[in-house]
Amino acid sequence: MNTISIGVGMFLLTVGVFFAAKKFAVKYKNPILNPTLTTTIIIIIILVSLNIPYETYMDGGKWLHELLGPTVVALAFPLYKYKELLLKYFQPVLVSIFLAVTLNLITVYIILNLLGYTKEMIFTALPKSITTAVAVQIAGQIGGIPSLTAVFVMIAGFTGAIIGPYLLKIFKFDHTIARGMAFGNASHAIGTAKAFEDNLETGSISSAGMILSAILSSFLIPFLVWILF
Amino acid sequence: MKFIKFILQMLLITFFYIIGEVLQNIFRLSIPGSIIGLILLFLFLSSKILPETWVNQGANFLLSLMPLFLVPATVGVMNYFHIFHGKGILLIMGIIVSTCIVFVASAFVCEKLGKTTFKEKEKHLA
Repeated sequence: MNTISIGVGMFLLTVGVFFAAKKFAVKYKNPILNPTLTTTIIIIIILVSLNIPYETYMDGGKWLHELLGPTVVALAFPLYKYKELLLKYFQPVLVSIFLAVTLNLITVYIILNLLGYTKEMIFTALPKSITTAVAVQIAGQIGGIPSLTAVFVMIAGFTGAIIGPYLLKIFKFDHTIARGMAFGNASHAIGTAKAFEDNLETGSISSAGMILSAILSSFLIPFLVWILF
Repeated sequence: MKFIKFILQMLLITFFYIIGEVLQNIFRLSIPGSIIGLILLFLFLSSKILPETWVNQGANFLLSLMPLFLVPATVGVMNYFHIFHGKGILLIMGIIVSTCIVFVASAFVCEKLGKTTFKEKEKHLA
């Protein structure tokens, strides 16, 4: 088989598995059934059992991967839509995002240092609380391993979606902005999906938190790396 | 006709992405080109230079498929399974702990500031 037909095959496989996984996720509403996660697991199982290396998979996978860039740009649209809501809560939103982004960087840096991980691993984990599309680009930029960053981003996402609601209950956070910013800042899109279960306003604030923390991180992370290493 | 509009919208968004990448390359910026494109598109929309009806459908379509576009990157973990053996469990726990700290802190400041902001507004109204 030539590269083109392998590429087309891998492309169709990914799209097919994804839409099946999505249908499944809609049917059984459980955050564990996140379509990206289930599709990833199924595709890895297929590749490993057929002895197909990742590089071969990417012959087709790269066509989908290339669309991440324009998709990040498309986030400008919801951000524009939520502008009024953000201006209404300007001060808490701004402080919360600054705090979230700095705390994320500090805690990742300290924890990985204590565990004795290398510089490369710290670079890989630093963008873990921002939306995957941006996180993998930042990781690539600063010399981390983008594929591994994507996995850390997933872990951060599920932490917020699964443990988050308990944290909100324990600390008695009942303010719409508080709940929205927590999901968006810490757990990006996966958290945002959970925030929309609260109501539309919590979800919108979470989306804005996700986008703004991604923008701020993309400025701060390279700067921090430049200073510290 | 609708389909053509749709394609044109996506091309316009991709155009902003390319501009972002070009600017990043020219000025050797450390911010990803996609984020520069995002900021530019946001500024164009906010200043009404670009009407939102020129990008709304294309943007919503791309965003609805974002989880699909992420799959090729996440599949890449198959080359790094060894990292999660042994000490890797601690690494995962560390990521979870860090995320919980960020989560609680984000909500905490809003809960505090949010309330004062509202009170101030109430006072203002009174």
